[in-house]
Amino acid sequence: MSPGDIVSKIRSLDGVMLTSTGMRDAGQSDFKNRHRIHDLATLAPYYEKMNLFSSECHGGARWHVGIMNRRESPFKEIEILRETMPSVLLQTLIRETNLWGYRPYSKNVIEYVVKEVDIDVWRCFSFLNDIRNMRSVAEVVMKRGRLFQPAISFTQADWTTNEYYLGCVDDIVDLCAGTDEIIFCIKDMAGVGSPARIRSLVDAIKQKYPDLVVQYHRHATDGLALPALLASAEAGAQIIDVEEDSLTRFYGQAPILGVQAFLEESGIKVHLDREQTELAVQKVREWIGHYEWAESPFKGFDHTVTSHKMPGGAFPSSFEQAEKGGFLHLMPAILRIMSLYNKIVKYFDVTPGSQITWVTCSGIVNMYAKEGGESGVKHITRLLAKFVEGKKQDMSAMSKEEQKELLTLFRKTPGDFKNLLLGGYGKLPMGWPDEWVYQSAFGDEWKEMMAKRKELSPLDSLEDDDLNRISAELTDHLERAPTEEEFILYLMHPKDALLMVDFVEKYGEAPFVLPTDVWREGLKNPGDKVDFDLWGKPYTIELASVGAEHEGHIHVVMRVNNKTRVYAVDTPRAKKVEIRIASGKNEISAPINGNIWRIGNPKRGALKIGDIVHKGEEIANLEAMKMENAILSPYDGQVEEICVKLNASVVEKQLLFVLKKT
Amino acid sequence: MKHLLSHRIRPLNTHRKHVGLSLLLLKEAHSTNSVLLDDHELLSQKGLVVLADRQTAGRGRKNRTWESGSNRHLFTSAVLHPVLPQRLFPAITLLAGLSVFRALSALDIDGLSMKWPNDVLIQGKKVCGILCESKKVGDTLFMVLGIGLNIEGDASQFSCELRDKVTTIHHETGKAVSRDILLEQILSELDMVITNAYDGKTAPLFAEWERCSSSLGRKVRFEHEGMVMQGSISGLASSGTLLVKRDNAEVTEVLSGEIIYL
Repeated sequence: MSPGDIVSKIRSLDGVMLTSTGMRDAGQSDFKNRHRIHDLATLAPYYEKMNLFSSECHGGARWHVGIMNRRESPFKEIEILRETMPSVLLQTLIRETNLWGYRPYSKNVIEYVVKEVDIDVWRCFSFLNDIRNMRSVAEVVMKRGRLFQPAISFTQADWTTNEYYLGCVDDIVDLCAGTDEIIFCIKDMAGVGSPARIRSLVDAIKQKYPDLVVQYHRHATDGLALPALLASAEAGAQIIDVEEDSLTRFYGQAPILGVQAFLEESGIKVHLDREQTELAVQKVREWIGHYEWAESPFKGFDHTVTSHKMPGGAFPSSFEQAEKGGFLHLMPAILRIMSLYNKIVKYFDVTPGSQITWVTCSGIVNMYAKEGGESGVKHITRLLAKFVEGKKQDMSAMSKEEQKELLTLFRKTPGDFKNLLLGGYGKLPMGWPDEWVYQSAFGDEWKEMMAKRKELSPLDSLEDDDLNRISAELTDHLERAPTEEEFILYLMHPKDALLMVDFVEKYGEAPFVLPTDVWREGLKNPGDKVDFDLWGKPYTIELASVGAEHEGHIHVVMRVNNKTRVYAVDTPRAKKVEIRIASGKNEISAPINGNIWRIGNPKRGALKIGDIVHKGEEIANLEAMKMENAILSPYDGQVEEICVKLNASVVEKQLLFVLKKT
Repeated sequence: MKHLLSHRIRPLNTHRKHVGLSLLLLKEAHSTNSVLLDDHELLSQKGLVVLADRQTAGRGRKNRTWESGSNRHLFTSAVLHPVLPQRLFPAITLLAGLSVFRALSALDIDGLSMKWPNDVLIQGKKVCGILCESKKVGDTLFMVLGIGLNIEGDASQFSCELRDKVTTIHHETGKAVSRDILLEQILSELDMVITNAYDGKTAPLFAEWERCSSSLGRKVRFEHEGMVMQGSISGLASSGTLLVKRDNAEVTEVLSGEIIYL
């Protein structure tokens, strides 16, 4: 169906349809994006029959975590889902100019990447609601006949009035030349829209644009998700985001079965196959236990999110970071500082804004904790509260000392924060912050820096990336031509993409075929086995034995479909014998693993340093399994170095001789 | 200019794909392997096999001699244009042994066993020697598989040191088997085995070797990284190297071909 057809169909519906975020946002919000496609794919047969509007299964941070941790390519995930649920619309979450990465990309990169990704519904958002930034994504998506879903980031503040939001909607309708081919989304990423507020907003939008199809995405954090979803539906929203009940925790979406029951009881028809949905919910329970370790240490709904605004998707990772960094006890203070900070520098707390907020605020609190301990933290909290809430941000009403301190508050902020102040990401929703913020961030240079502020969208101010150069760079790294997919992964996250390529070369399809318990824990006791299918063939791997450690090596014997295989595992105690690997032009290496049983040849005898050898002359012989391999001199040369002992075992590519060309 | 011997090369009427496509028959050669290795033109001919009625300077590994005996035996060398990855080259010698084993089995010869990596035995005595040698011509690597198979007569034709260790087909089975039939059978088995190896199907071949070799569980002594070790054979690794389980339960991969059965 074309986008226009889809929109018409929804418009003509009586009642609402649902988008399940079970395959993306549910995992991002409460499980650190660790759900493996191996497990998620078990839901596909049910999704195929549930009559969902779409399945959000791609994008957000799932892409990066896939590369970095799960070792699953976002391209392969789409392939698998297309096979297993061919009639379901696949949906992604994409960040305007940042795509699925963390920096703004130039127009040519955006165009290149978006056209290679096989997704049906593209939900695109800007953390500044700078709609200009969506233009490139909108153009490519719509030109390729896919459904574009522009989203406004939603928060609750004194400045986020209906009038403000309607301005954003106007910009969107302009950008997309009307309302017939798009679905408009309200992205309530922190879950702060109260039922009354949401009702009012949706109502205002539908009054101005009655034909605009509205979708409401809301996190459950404040505890008021269900009534807010109902309010949106009653006001005219026609698609609601939900997730399988068994996946719900605290910071994701509301439960699909509960939402269906609640809406229908309230008189709103929900187009959903309840029976299939119950089966999907049940299926989750078969594997969700494997992900307990990934759940957030910070638990429970949190109505104070309406002040600090931390988005659901950031909860687990922020708390994990705090735990690892040893500042978990400072979290309440950080959240309080965030609620004051977001009144000073106004933007939406969603990627990459949420990262900027987190780094800036946790940085400030950690700095004061380091210098003044608990009382230091209390002090800065009091100071900032006085300034923001007490004195309504009137600097002149603060004492000279207090002013001085505020002017150093942002001195140690990250580069991204400074870039934000200078318009590097686009137009801030409420315009530039007050001048003192610039003074605070840039010190003496503040006036010059302010003069450099940009009003342009990064789309206009960023120069085209030289894709050929980047491709050559990648080819260099890989020592072969990259695939299209590898190139795109590299564009998004260069370092992690290279590590992923290494991983795939070593471990191939393992992430896609191993069940989660074996993936995480391995086979532990002799006799343990795992069954799986690989390329249509059944396999069984059984752990036969784990040998005793000998000089830092342990030999592990496995049986793969009853064939014995041995793996040598190095322990940290393994003495790393220095093996020189040949790399340079004058370096002669072993072609395969084996044993150097002769250096020189029968005619001339043994070789020594300084000897002259001719092109084609045998300079050593390597034996492997009774197979003799003559190693010939590739050119006329002189022996500079003999790097191997007689009867030594060598490995492929190990350096044997350094032969200078004569 | 045509090669001196080209008029002596006749194509073999066969369905084989890689090995044994044409034959060069010589009354006498010092070493059939050397005939090929010393002549690049011959080496470059895909599927060429050299057969000699008599061999005067037969070679074994590490420049040892292959005693050719005084009776009629099979002395042959086949060219292989390998497309296997180089790390699997050593496995070819094992596959050659397997091919000879299969051929002799197909001709109803009993008492067969194999010793790693490429020995074929009847009643525990060696009846066949295989020498694989590789050589680079320009940028291409060629392989020569030399097979010496003892057919006629008894052990008295060989020198004293060998008489207890080697044997002939006739001596063990009482049968007179035609050299030409043997060659044809061996080449066909070799071709099938090589084709499977080229297709990446080495695993079932190694499994077959494990089953047919009568080697599993045998106690052996070998050298590994300068130390002498002992253990029992537990099987083949995925590259065809031997796995030996030592007394400390460790399993070691044996790379060098020298193992002694205890």
